[in-house]
Amino acid sequence: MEITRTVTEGFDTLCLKGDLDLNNAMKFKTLLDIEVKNAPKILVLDMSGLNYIDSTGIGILINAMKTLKAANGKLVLLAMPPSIHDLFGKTSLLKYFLAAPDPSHLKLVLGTD
Amino acid sequence: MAPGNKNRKLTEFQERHIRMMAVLLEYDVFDLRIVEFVREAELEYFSLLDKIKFLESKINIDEKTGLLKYRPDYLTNILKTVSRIYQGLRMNNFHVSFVRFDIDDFSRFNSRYGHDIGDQVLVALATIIKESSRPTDYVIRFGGEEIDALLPSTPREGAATYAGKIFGRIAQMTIPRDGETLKITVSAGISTMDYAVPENMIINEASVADSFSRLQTEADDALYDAKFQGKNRFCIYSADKKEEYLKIRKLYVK
Repeated sequence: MEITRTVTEGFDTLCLKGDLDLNNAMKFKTLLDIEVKNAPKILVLDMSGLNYIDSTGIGILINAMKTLKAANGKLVLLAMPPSIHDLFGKTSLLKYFLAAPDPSHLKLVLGTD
Repeated sequence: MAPGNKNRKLTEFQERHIRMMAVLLEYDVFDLRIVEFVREAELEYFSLLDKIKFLESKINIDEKTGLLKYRPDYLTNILKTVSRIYQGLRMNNFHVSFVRFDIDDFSRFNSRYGHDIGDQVLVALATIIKESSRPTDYVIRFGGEEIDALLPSTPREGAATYAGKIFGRIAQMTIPRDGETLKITVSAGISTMDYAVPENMIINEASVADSFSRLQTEADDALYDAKFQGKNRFCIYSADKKEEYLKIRKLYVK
Protein backbone atom coordinates (compact mmCIF):
# COMPACT_ATOMS: atom_id res chain seq x y z
CA MET A 1 0.00 0.00 0.00
CA GLU A 2 1.20 3.51 -0.78
CA ILE A 3 0.47 6.45 1.50
CA THR A 4 1.07 10.05 0.41
CA ARG A 5 0.40 13.35 2.15
CA THR A 6 -1.47 16.19 0.50
CA VAL A 7 -3.90 18.98 1.28
CA THR A 8 -7.49 18.83 0.07
CA GLU A 9 -9.70 21.89 0.31
CA GLY A 10 -7.32 23.19 2.96
CA PHE A 11 -7.38 20.01 5.08
CA ASP A 12 -4.46 17.71 5.83
CA THR A 13 -4.99 14.57 3.82
CA LEU A 14 -3.48 11.12 3.66
CA CYS A 15 -4.05 9.39 0.31
CA LEU A 16 -4.25 5.59 0.49
CA LYS A 17 -3.51 3.49 -2.57
CA GLY A 18 -3.64 -0.30 -2.92
CA ASP A 19 -4.64 -2.86 -0.30
CA LEU A 20 -4.83 -2.15 3.42
CA ASP A 21 -4.67 -5.53 5.10
CA LEU A 22 -3.14 -7.35 8.04
CA ASN A 23 0.26 -7.40 6.34
CA ASN A 24 0.62 -3.62 6.24
CA ALA A 25 -1.98 -2.45 8.78
CA MET A 26 0.60 -1.93 11.52
CA LYS A 27 2.75 0.25 9.24
CA PHE A 28 -0.36 2.28 8.44
CA LYS A 29 -1.11 2.57 12.17
CA THR A 30 2.38 3.97 12.85
CA LEU A 31 1.93 6.64 10.16
CA LEU A 32 -1.56 7.46 11.33
CA ASP A 33 -0.38 7.71 14.93
CA ILE A 34 2.15 10.38 13.90
CA GLU A 35 -0.62 12.40 12.23
CA VAL A 36 -3.02 11.96 15.12
CA LYS A 37 -0.34 12.95 17.68
CA ASN A 38 -0.19 16.38 16.05
CA ALA A 39 -3.83 16.67 17.08
CA PRO A 40 -5.16 18.12 13.81
CA LYS A 41 -8.68 19.45 14.00
CA ILE A 42 -9.48 17.72 10.77
CA LEU A 43 -7.74 14.77 9.13
CA VAL A 44 -8.91 13.54 5.74
CA LEU A 45 -8.23 10.03 4.45
CA ASP A 46 -8.56 9.95 0.68
CA MET A 47 -9.64 6.39 -0.04
CA SER A 48 -10.24 6.76 -3.79
CA GLY A 49 -7.15 4.66 -4.57
CA LEU A 50 -7.93 2.00 -1.99
CA ASN A 51 -8.68 -1.36 -3.57
CA TYR A 52 -9.26 -3.43 -0.42
CA ILE A 53 -9.46 -2.98 3.33
CA ASP A 54 -9.72 -5.81 5.85
CA SER A 55 -10.90 -6.01 9.45
CA THR A 56 -7.51 -5.02 10.90
CA GLY A 57 -7.39 -1.96 8.65
CA ILE A 58 -10.92 -0.99 9.67
CA GLY A 59 -10.01 -1.50 13.34
CA ILE A 60 -7.15 0.97 12.91
CA LEU A 61 -9.49 3.51 11.27
CA ILE A 62 -11.92 3.15 14.19
CA ASN A 63 -9.09 3.68 16.64
CA ALA A 64 -7.84 6.81 14.79
CA MET A 65 -11.37 8.20 14.63
CA LYS A 66 -11.83 7.66 18.39
CA THR A 67 -8.44 9.15 19.28
CA LEU A 68 -9.09 12.27 17.19
CA LYS A 69 -12.57 12.63 18.61
CA ALA A 70 -11.18 12.47 22.15
CA ALA A 71 -8.90 15.40 21.21
CA ASN A 72 -11.88 17.28 19.67
CA GLY A 73 -10.70 16.48 16.16
CA LYS A 74 -12.47 14.83 13.24
CA LEU A 75 -11.54 12.10 10.79
CA VAL A 76 -13.19 12.22 7.37
CA LEU A 77 -13.21 9.35 4.90
CA LEU A 78 -13.10 10.81 1.42
CA ALA A 79 -14.19 9.15 -1.84
CA MET A 80 -14.71 5.62 -0.57
CA PRO A 81 -14.92 3.16 -3.47
CA PRO A 82 -18.43 1.62 -3.75
CA SER A 83 -17.37 -1.83 -2.45
CA ILE A 84 -15.79 -0.31 0.68
CA HIS A 85 -18.73 2.05 1.15
CA ASP A 86 -21.07 -0.97 0.99
CA LEU A 87 -18.96 -2.81 3.58
CA PHE A 88 -19.15 0.16 5.97
CA GLY A 89 -22.90 0.29 5.36
CA LYS A 90 -23.69 -3.36 5.97
CA THR A 91 -21.55 -3.54 9.09
CA SER A 92 -23.25 -0.42 10.54
CA LEU A 93 -20.00 1.52 10.65
CA LEU A 94 -21.11 4.37 8.39
CA LYS A 95 -23.03 6.04 11.19
CA TYR A 96 -19.84 6.49 13.23
CA PHE A 97 -17.68 7.97 10.46
CA LEU A 98 -17.86 11.22 8.56
CA ALA A 99 -17.78 10.33 4.86
CA ALA A 100 -17.58 12.64 1.87
CA PRO A 101 -18.11 11.30 -1.65
CA ASP A 102 -15.77 13.93 -3.16
CA PRO A 103 -13.71 16.97 -2.10
CA SER A 104 -16.54 19.38 -2.91
CA HIS A 105 -18.62 17.80 -0.13
CA LEU A 106 -15.92 18.03 2.55
CA LYS A 107 -17.00 21.35 4.05
CA LEU A 108 -20.63 20.31 3.95
CA VAL A 109 -19.88 17.08 5.81
CA LEU A 110 -17.79 18.97 8.36
CA GLY A 111 -20.43 21.62 8.84
CA THR A 112 -17.99 24.39 7.95
CA ASP A 113 -19.74 25.39 4.72
CA MET B 1 -6.80 -13.84 -2.79
CA ALA B 2 -3.54 -12.08 -3.47
CA PRO B 3 -3.01 -8.39 -2.67
CA GLY B 4 -3.59 -6.12 -5.64
CA ASN B 5 -6.34 -8.30 -7.05
CA LYS B 6 -9.30 -6.08 -7.97
CA ASN B 7 -11.78 -8.78 -6.94
CA ARG B 8 -10.31 -9.34 -3.50
CA LYS B 9 -13.17 -9.87 -1.06
CA LEU B 10 -13.47 -10.25 2.69
CA THR B 11 -14.34 -13.64 4.11
CA GLU B 12 -17.35 -14.22 6.39
CA PHE B 13 -14.87 -14.63 9.22
CA GLN B 14 -13.41 -11.14 8.62
CA GLU B 15 -16.85 -9.54 8.22
CA ARG B 16 -17.90 -11.02 11.56
CA HIS B 17 -14.89 -9.34 13.15
CA ILE B 18 -15.90 -5.98 11.66
CA ARG B 19 -19.46 -6.38 12.98
CA MET B 20 -18.05 -7.23 16.39
CA MET B 21 -15.92 -4.07 16.35
CA ALA B 22 -18.98 -2.02 15.32
CA VAL B 23 -20.88 -3.37 18.34
CA LEU B 24 -17.98 -2.53 20.65
CA LEU B 25 -17.93 0.96 19.15
CA GLU B 26 -21.67 1.32 19.71
CA TYR B 27 -21.21 0.58 23.41
CA ASP B 28 -18.11 2.78 23.52
CA VAL B 29 -15.90 -0.07 24.67
CA PHE B 30 -13.74 -0.32 21.57
CA ASP B 31 -10.08 -0.63 22.44
CA LEU B 32 -6.94 -0.89 20.29
CA ARG B 33 -6.14 -4.25 21.90
CA ILE B 34 -9.20 -5.63 20.08
CA VAL B 35 -7.52 -4.85 16.75
CA GLU B 36 -4.45 -6.78 17.82
CA PHE B 37 -6.62 -9.78 18.82
CA VAL B 38 -8.46 -9.61 15.51
CA ARG B 39 -5.17 -9.47 13.65
CA GLU B 40 -3.77 -12.47 15.52
CA ALA B 41 -6.96 -14.46 15.01
CA GLU B 42 -6.93 -13.72 11.28
CA LEU B 43 -3.25 -14.56 10.90
CA GLU B 44 -3.97 -17.90 12.54
CA TYR B 45 -7.09 -18.42 10.41
CA PHE B 46 -5.24 -17.75 7.15
CA SER B 47 -2.30 -19.91 8.26
CA LEU B 48 -4.74 -22.77 8.84
CA LEU B 49 -6.33 -22.22 5.43
CA ASP B 50 -2.87 -22.37 3.86
CA LYS B 51 -2.10 -25.53 5.79
CA ILE B 52 -5.33 -27.19 4.63
CA LYS B 53 -4.55 -26.25 1.02
CA PHE B 54 -1.03 -27.62 1.41
CA LEU B 55 -2.28 -30.88 2.95
CA GLU B 56 -4.92 -31.26 0.25
CA SER B 57 -2.22 -30.95 -2.38
CA LYS B 58 -0.26 -33.68 -0.61
CA ILE B 59 -3.09 -36.18 -0.40
CA ASN B 60 -2.42 -38.97 -2.81
CA ILE B 61 -5.51 -40.03 -4.67
CA ASP B 62 -5.43 -42.95 -7.08
CA GLU B 63 -6.79 -41.52 -10.34
CA LYS B 64 -8.42 -44.70 -11.57
CA THR B 65 -10.43 -45.63 -8.48
CA GLY B 66 -10.61 -42.35 -6.55
CA LEU B 67 -9.30 -44.22 -3.49
CA LEU B 68 -6.35 -43.20 -1.35
CA LYS B 69 -2.92 -44.29 -2.45
CA TYR B 70 -0.97 -46.26 0.10
CA ARG B 71 0.93 -44.33 2.76
CA PRO B 72 2.67 -45.91 5.75
CA ASP B 73 1.44 -43.26 8.20
CA TYR B 74 -2.36 -43.73 8.09
CA LEU B 75 -2.39 -45.69 11.35
CA THR B 76 -0.20 -43.02 12.96
CA ASN B 77 -2.81 -40.40 11.94
CA ILE B 78 -5.59 -42.50 13.46
CA LEU B 79 -3.80 -42.95 16.76
CA LYS B 80 -2.80 -39.28 16.93
CA THR B 81 -6.45 -38.30 16.48
CA VAL B 82 -7.51 -40.76 19.16
CA SER B 83 -4.96 -39.44 21.62
CA ARG B 84 -6.15 -35.87 20.92
CA ILE B 85 -9.84 -36.72 21.28
CA TYR B 86 -9.40 -38.79 24.41
CA GLN B 87 -6.72 -36.59 25.96
CA GLY B 88 -6.76 -37.08 29.73
CA LEU B 89 -8.90 -40.20 29.50
CA ARG B 90 -7.63 -43.74 29.74
CA MET B 91 -8.92 -46.21 27.14
CA ASN B 92 -7.90 -49.80 27.47
CA ASN B 93 -9.20 -51.16 24.22
CA PHE B 94 -9.06 -49.11 21.09
CA HIS B 95 -9.51 -51.52 18.19
CA VAL B 96 -8.28 -50.95 14.69
CA SER B 97 -9.17 -53.48 12.00
CA PHE B 98 -7.71 -53.95 8.59
CA VAL B 99 -9.26 -55.70 5.59
CA ARG B 100 -7.37 -56.57 2.43
CA PHE B 101 -9.59 -57.39 -0.58
CA ASP B 102 -8.21 -59.12 -3.65
CA ILE B 103 -10.10 -59.89 -6.87
CA ASP B 104 -9.96 -63.63 -7.57
CA ASP B 105 -8.17 -64.70 -10.77
CA PHE B 106 -7.95 -61.13 -11.96
CA SER B 107 -4.97 -61.74 -14.28
CA ARG B 108 -6.93 -64.43 -16.07
CA PHE B 109 -9.99 -62.15 -16.22
CA ASN B 110 -7.90 -59.35 -17.76
CA SER B 111 -6.31 -61.70 -20.31
CA ARG B 112 -9.72 -62.96 -21.35
CA TYR B 113 -11.74 -59.73 -21.43
CA GLY B 114 -9.09 -57.04 -21.75
CA HIS B 115 -7.80 -54.37 -19.42
CA ASP B 116 -10.62 -51.89 -20.09
CA ILE B 117 -13.16 -54.33 -18.68
CA GLY B 118 -10.72 -55.15 -15.88
CA ASP B 119 -10.57 -51.44 -15.01
CA GLN B 120 -14.37 -51.27 -14.93
CA VAL B 121 -14.41 -54.14 -12.45
CA LEU B 122 -11.81 -52.43 -10.29
CA VAL B 123 -13.75 -49.14 -10.27
CA ALA B 124 -17.03 -50.93 -9.48
CA LEU B 125 -15.41 -52.80 -6.58
CA ALA B 126 -13.77 -49.61 -5.28
CA THR B 127 -17.18 -47.88 -5.36
CA ILE B 128 -18.84 -50.68 -3.37
CA ILE B 129 -16.12 -50.65 -0.72
CA LYS B 130 -16.08 -46.85 -0.48
CA GLU B 131 -19.88 -46.67 -0.21
CA SER B 132 -19.87 -49.32 2.51
CA SER B 133 -17.25 -47.47 4.57
CA ARG B 134 -17.53 -44.64 7.09
CA PRO B 135 -15.97 -41.24 6.49
CA THR B 136 -13.40 -42.07 9.18
CA ASP B 137 -12.27 -45.24 7.41
CA TYR B 138 -9.26 -45.23 5.10
CA VAL B 139 -9.99 -47.03 1.83
CA ILE B 140 -6.76 -47.52 -0.04
CA ARG B 141 -5.80 -48.91 -3.42
CA PHE B 142 -2.83 -50.99 -2.35
CA GLY B 143 -1.71 -52.42 -5.65
CA GLY B 144 -3.07 -53.78 -8.93
CA GLU B 145 -6.23 -55.54 -7.82
CA GLU B 146 -5.86 -55.20 -4.05
CA ILE B 147 -7.93 -52.75 -2.02
CA ASP B 148 -7.36 -52.18 1.70
CA ALA B 149 -9.67 -50.76 4.32
CA LEU B 150 -8.26 -49.44 7.59
CA LEU B 151 -11.10 -49.20 10.09
CA PRO B 152 -10.63 -47.18 13.30
CA SER B 153 -12.73 -48.06 16.39
CA THR B 154 -13.64 -51.41 14.86
CA PRO B 155 -13.25 -54.71 16.69
CA ARG B 156 -12.89 -58.04 14.88
CA GLU B 157 -16.67 -58.70 14.83
CA GLY B 158 -17.34 -55.24 13.40
CA ALA B 159 -14.81 -55.85 10.63
CA ALA B 160 -16.46 -59.21 9.84
CA THR B 161 -19.88 -57.53 9.60
CA TYR B 162 -18.36 -54.86 7.34
CA ALA B 163 -16.75 -57.46 5.07
CA GLY B 164 -19.97 -59.50 5.00
CA LYS B 165 -21.93 -56.47 3.82
CA ILE B 166 -19.41 -55.83 1.04
CA PHE B 167 -19.37 -59.47 -0.05
CA GLY B 168 -23.18 -59.33 -0.28
CA ARG B 169 -22.95 -56.39 -2.65
CA ILE B 170 -20.13 -57.95 -4.71
CA ALA B 171 -22.34 -61.02 -5.27
CA GLN B 172 -24.92 -58.70 -6.88
CA MET B 173 -22.34 -56.85 -8.97
CA THR B 174 -22.42 -57.42 -12.72
CA ILE B 175 -20.36 -55.98 -15.54
CA PRO B 176 -22.11 -55.78 -18.93
CA ARG B 177 -20.03 -56.65 -21.99
CA ASP B 178 -21.34 -57.16 -25.54
CA GLY B 179 -24.66 -58.54 -24.32
CA GLU B 180 -22.88 -60.73 -21.81
CA THR B 181 -23.06 -60.21 -18.07
CA LEU B 182 -19.76 -60.75 -16.33
CA LYS B 183 -19.30 -61.47 -12.65
CA ILE B 184 -16.28 -61.61 -10.41
CA THR B 185 -15.51 -62.91 -6.97
CA VAL B 186 -13.26 -61.48 -4.29
CA SER B 187 -11.30 -62.89 -1.35
CA ALA B 188 -10.35 -60.96 1.75
CA GLY B 189 -8.31 -61.24 4.92
CA ILE B 190 -9.07 -59.45 8.18
CA SER B 191 -6.74 -58.53 11.02
CA THR B 192 -7.30 -56.51 14.18
CA MET B 193 -5.10 -54.83 16.78
CA ASP B 194 -6.06 -53.61 20.21
CA TYR B 195 -4.34 -50.51 21.52
CA ALA B 196 -4.26 -49.32 25.09
CA VAL B 197 -4.57 -45.55 25.13
CA PRO B 198 -3.03 -44.16 28.32
CA GLU B 199 -4.00 -40.80 29.80
CA ASN B 200 -1.21 -39.00 28.00
CA MET B 201 -0.35 -41.04 25.00
CA ILE B 202 2.95 -40.37 23.27
CA ILE B 203 2.94 -41.72 19.74
CA ASN B 204 6.09 -43.57 18.79
CA GLU B 205 5.90 -43.31 15.01
CA ALA B 206 8.38 -46.12 14.34
CA SER B 207 6.51 -48.49 16.60
CA VAL B 208 3.14 -47.56 15.04
CA ALA B 209 4.63 -48.10 11.56
CA ASP B 210 5.69 -51.60 12.70
CA SER B 211 2.22 -52.20 14.04
CA PHE B 212 0.71 -51.17 10.69
CA SER B 213 3.06 -53.56 8.88
CA ARG B 214 1.99 -56.35 11.21
CA LEU B 215 -1.70 -55.61 10.58
CA GLN B 216 -1.02 -55.93 6.86
CA THR B 217 0.99 -59.13 7.17
CA GLU B 218 -1.71 -60.75 9.28
CA ALA B 219 -4.47 -59.66 6.89
CA ASP B 220 -2.34 -61.10 4.07
CA ASP B 221 -2.06 -64.42 5.93
CA ALA B 222 -5.83 -64.50 6.29
CA LEU B 223 -6.24 -63.54 2.63
CA TYR B 224 -4.01 -66.46 1.53
CA ASP B 225 -6.10 -68.71 3.75
CA ALA B 226 -9.28 -67.50 2.02
CA LYS B 227 -7.73 -68.21 -1.40
CA PHE B 228 -6.55 -71.62 -0.20
CA GLN B 229 -10.02 -72.49 1.05
CA GLY B 230 -11.49 -71.95 -2.41
CA LYS B 231 -11.69 -68.13 -2.85
CA ASN B 232 -14.88 -65.99 -2.82
CA ARG B 233 -14.78 -65.65 0.96
CA PHE B 234 -13.10 -63.76 3.75
CA CYS B 235 -11.05 -65.16 6.61
CA ILE B 236 -10.11 -63.64 9.94
CA TYR B 237 -6.51 -63.86 11.09
CA SER B 238 -5.91 -66.22 14.01
CA ALA B 239 -2.60 -66.32 15.89
CA ASP B 240 -3.22 -70.08 16.46
CA LYS B 241 -2.84 -70.75 12.73
CA LYS B 242 0.66 -69.30 12.25
CA GLU B 243 2.18 -72.64 11.16
CA GLU B 244 -0.67 -73.23 8.75
CA TYR B 245 -0.26 -69.78 7.20
CA LEU B 246 3.43 -70.49 6.59
CA LYS B 247 2.57 -73.73 4.77
CA ILE B 248 -0.09 -72.03 2.67
CA ARG B 249 2.27 -69.21 1.68
CA LYS B 250 4.91 -71.77 0.68
CA LEU B 251 2.35 -73.51 -1.55
CA TYR B 252 1.51 -70.21 -3.23
CA VAL B 253 5.18 -69.36 -3.77
CA LYS B 254 5.64 -72.73 -5.43
